[in-house]
Amino acid sequence: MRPQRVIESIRFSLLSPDEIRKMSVTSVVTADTYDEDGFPIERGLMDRRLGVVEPGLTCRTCGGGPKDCPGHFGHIELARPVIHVNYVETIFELLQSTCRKCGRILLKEEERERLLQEMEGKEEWWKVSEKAVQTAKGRQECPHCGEEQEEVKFEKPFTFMEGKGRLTPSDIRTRLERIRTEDLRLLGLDPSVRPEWMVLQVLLVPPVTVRPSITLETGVRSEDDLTHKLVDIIRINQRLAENMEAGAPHLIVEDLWELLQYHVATYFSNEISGVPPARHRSGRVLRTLGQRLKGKEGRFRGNLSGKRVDFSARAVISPDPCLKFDEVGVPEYVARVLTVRSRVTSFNLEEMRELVRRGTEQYPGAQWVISPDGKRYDLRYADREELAQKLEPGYVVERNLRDGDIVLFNRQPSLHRMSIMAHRVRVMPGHTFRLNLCVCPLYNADFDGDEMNLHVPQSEEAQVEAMILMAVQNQIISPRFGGPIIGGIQDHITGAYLLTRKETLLDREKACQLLMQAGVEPVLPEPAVVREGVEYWTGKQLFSVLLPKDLNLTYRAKICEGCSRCKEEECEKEAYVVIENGELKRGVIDAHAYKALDKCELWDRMVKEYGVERASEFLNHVTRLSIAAAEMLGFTTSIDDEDIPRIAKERIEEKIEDAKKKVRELIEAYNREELEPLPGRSLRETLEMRIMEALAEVRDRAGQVAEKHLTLSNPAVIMARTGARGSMLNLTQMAACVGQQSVRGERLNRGYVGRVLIHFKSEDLGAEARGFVSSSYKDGLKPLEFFFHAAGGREGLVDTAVRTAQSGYMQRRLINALQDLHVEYDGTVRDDRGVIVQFLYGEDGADPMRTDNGKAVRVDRLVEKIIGGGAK
Amino acid sequence: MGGRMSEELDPRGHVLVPEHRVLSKEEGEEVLRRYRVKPHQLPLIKSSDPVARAIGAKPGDIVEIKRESFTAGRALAYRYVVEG
Amino acid sequence: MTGVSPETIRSEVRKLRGEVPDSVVEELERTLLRVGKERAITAEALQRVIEAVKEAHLSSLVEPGEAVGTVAAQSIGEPGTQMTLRTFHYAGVAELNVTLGLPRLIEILDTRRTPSAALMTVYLEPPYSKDKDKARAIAQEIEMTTVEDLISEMETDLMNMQLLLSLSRSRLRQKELTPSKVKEVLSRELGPKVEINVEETKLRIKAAESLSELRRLAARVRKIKLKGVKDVTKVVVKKEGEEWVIYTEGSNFAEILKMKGVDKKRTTTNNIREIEEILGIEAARNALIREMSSTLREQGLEVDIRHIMLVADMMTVKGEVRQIGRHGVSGEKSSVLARAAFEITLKHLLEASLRGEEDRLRGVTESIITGNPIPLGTGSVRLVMQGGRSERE
Repeated sequence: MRPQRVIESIRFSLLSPDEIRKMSVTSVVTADTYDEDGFPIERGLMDRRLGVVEPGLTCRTCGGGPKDCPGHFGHIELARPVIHVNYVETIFELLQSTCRKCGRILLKEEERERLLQEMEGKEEWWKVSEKAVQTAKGRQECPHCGEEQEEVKFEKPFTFMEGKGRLTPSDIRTRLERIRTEDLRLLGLDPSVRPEWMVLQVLLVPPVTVRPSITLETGVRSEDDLTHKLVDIIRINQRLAENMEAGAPHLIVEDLWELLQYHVATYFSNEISGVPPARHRSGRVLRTLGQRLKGKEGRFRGNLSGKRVDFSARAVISPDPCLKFDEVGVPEYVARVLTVRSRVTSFNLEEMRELVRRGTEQYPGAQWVISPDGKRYDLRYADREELAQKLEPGYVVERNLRDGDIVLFNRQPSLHRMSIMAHRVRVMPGHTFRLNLCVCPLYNADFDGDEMNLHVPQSEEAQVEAMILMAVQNQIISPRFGGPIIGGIQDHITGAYLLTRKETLLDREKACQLLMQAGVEPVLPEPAVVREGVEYWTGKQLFSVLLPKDLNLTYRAKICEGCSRCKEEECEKEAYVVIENGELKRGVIDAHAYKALDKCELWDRMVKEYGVERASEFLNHVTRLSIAAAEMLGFTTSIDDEDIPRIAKERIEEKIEDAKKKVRELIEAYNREELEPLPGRSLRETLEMRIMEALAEVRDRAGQVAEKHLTLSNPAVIMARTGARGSMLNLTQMAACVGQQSVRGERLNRGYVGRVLIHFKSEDLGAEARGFVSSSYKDGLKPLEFFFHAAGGREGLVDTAVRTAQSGYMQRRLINALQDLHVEYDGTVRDDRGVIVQFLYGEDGADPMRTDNGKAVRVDRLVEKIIGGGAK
Repeated sequence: MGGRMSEELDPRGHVLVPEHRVLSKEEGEEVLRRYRVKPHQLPLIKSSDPVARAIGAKPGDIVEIKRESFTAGRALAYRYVVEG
Repeated sequence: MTGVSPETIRSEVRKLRGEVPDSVVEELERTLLRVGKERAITAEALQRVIEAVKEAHLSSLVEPGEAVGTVAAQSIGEPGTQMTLRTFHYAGVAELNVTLGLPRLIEILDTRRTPSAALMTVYLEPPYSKDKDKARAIAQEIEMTTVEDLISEMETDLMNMQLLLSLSRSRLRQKELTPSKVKEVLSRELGPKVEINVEETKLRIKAAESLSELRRLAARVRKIKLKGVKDVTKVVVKKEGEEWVIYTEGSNFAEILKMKGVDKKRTTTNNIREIEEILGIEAARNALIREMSSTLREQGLEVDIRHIMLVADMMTVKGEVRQIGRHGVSGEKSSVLARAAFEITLKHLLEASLRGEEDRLRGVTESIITGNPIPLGTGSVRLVMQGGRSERE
């Protein structure tokens, strides 16, 4: 339902005392809130004319209950005026820049004219006012009445002195009253604002709804902080009034006045510098008006910019490779609670009747029925059979969530728009939300206890919008760089590799089995090999079943070692991939084929040339095929994958010894001052750089030795080399040598004087003394190495934590600065004021998401397609 | 002014500085019409900007900038000259 | 079958100008001319290619209403979590410190007046750029040398209330300075009242009256610039392709451009503020784009240049480089609510009340606060109707 009226604009201003009185439904005079029977006292802070919060009561002003009465303001007449703390600085400026006698701004007529003129038509006219005030401030004599000015001094928090005498709020008020309306703009005030309103005579009392009292389980009533503060104000105000009436000594009145000022000030803000914050009896600092608005949990950021919603669910997530990547598995017990508004039409009448009959007890059922006149029937209590019969087009049924419904799925932090996407529901047993692994990189989700949120769009309009704009399939291409961001991950890659390398041969049963698991019709091509009467198919053949028949593509696979002379199609490592007419002729499928956020040549082509539908189908099949292949062919990794022969170990040790020797030589050269310094570096820096270099090199060398024994027959290596998971560096650290540990990009050097640990001599610059770990993870670290490793590791952890905070804030600022920019129909980019920021978006008008990695028009491809070859 | 100007570096021709040109009144109005904007809704350039000074742009003028675009080869942009 | 002539290709392709971006027209022309040499392009094929290009261009266009700002912000912000935090790293020129990754990106968006690692790339004009020694000479001239860089020892002689400086011979030679030259600069800087004596490589400075004054003098003397350009603390000469280029740590763009032999057209700095001041707002825009994209690229993060351009354009629309944040773009928003919801809530509300500001509620934050649909994307479509009198009225 649309709101009847839309707020068009909001104007900010000051309230005048008259306005406050006019707004008010009652003046509040008694500091007591409730009488002995627990009824609100009339003209007290809980007066029922101020609105109601407790159910069952009605408001005495509007007659509404707690649901429909928004509350009404009251007021307190202050016995003496007090300064509004938030405006003390403005008041100070006003006192300094206006005449103490005639109230005119201390500017000569011509200055006034000039500045007013400058102001004319300016959107940010107050910038000119700042200049005007600055000029007026220092003036000794009023240019208008010739009055000598006395210096006004401001003592925090709210005392003003003029010359020797003190200016009371009353004095200030009279001074401010004298300021002429025509000078206001020059003073930085809107002409609709009277400066004397910054000195309060009447205090607005917010409705009870703003400061509801809560009743604790014990039956004890606990009042809101604001109410407490208002009680204080009324008490002191009363005492002040009584004392004044009784003609009490000046000093006492002054004291009470000061106290009133304190209470009113802390009522507005409890964080004034120089003022002790008002406290609750328990000693807790009161949270008054200012604090309610401020900060992350304040009214603005906490309640207005972010709101709590209905029709949502949150649960732990777990993986399900059998789901399509645009689906989400919803536990039945969640689906039983969440509902979707379904309009009854002549087409679904019977279906809806059945749902209503099943009601809340059986699962696909319904929760509520809404009749065309807007009446809601709760199916927990209603006569469901009768309601079902009554159902006719025009009714709305709030039925349970079921398969195929569109929901929004989200994981925080929502860093980009792919953090909330529209999925289709699959209701399933269990207690967690289930999702396909292809979308994990988008949500940045893993399954170590992550939770995600789910929202159900209710209106048809919302559902359609979600489906068109937010569907997972429509997010395959990232708007960040115009390439696929969804794709295969981890086992999808290993599986495909295992399947498509040349040694994989499958008999009919296995081949059919794989295709069935992939979800395609097991229509097999001609067998590639017939051996002893048995037909065999290659993995490449099976993979090709999924490819479009007119696809042609050649590229180098991830496993390509970048040999100096590429043998291309003859590559015996199968790193040269050739796809001809949808047939994978040569090469293996790995990360460069379809891994998310990698090169993904094949996948990129699929999405961009065959469209989202065809590409999604491909991805769903290929991931299942790969996983099935990995299961069938067998894939596992264990600690002995990092085993290397003894000879290799010895070679590595030799290399490490050599490097340590080299380091010693460097140090000696340094001590003899024979080291040639690098340009612009000190000798010591040079030494450090050379040592780091040498030690980094030895780790690489050790790695190389190890790598000779880590071949593609090794599962861990398969993962690293195909780009499925991990890197060769990870493996060599496990197998050969961990290498130098560092903190802040330097070798470890802090701890004791001249040494990191007591086990070394002071000023020992050797490799071991400064954190070089020569062991491998598999062999295990020596105690000292372990310590150094922990130091390096700790830095990594701290780094991550700091980075998250910093980049989070950077993103918030970026979003806030840019969020109002949008493309207009003429292609320009404008902000909310209509200011042009770009004359054509991106200077070529292209949407990054619709480009090919940033290129709007692939001229070469088009020419090649239409005219043929040679476009490269 | 003359003495100072000659001493000052002319920014035009630097690789980072695109070609600026002050539009005639008619051309300026055409730009405002084409984009249906008021002058203040255009991007701004201060009259104290080194390039604005070099080409003699005065507050109220509209400057056309021929950018070498990272995406489109060439792109035109406009800036309204303001006091500053 | 004969193909069309290169002239026809040229003229036909050029008709696309104005319809598709120049870069596409040029690329198409180049590609067709090259392909045309190898095989005949029929008139019909040519037309088909041209039509295909037009279509490809049209289908790549953004949709009106698209929230390009938010997408740009996300595209730059999201990879921020993957960036390194390591401030200093050696990139490009091994000898110089450069700020990289997230801290550098934040620095650019903050438009800090002095970047933590200012850096200039000084290109040279022909005779100097071709000759290593000439380039070296300029580099020597640029590098700032202070007294501190030369002294091997500095004593405060309390008895005679004087400073004793011992200058390092090797460093003097390296910096091409002599003790007398140092004396000359010192007496110019310290004024005639200060008495300076030179004995070989020892300098005696006599001036102070009290101990505290002597200490102050010592501190001051250390920092006195003897030669070079202020703030340029380190220079490195490097060959780049065919020419010699000087890289400097510390930046003083204005001074460098005044020097003889420096190429005033290509020399740049990574200090955006300096560029704005000396080369103007458009150059600052270009520099912002370059700096941001090279920072992201160096981290191996792929971000479309259009997003970066939008950020740079937003920072420069007002004719000056504005920070992304409360002291710049966000603080100058027209909406009071949007400003209040971002940072320093109270101040914005109080100021707005005095100025009688009106919030037109046209932006995203305000719309969310007031519960209206946001004016972007599908929310930007409005139905405009002739306001007829309804029957009730």
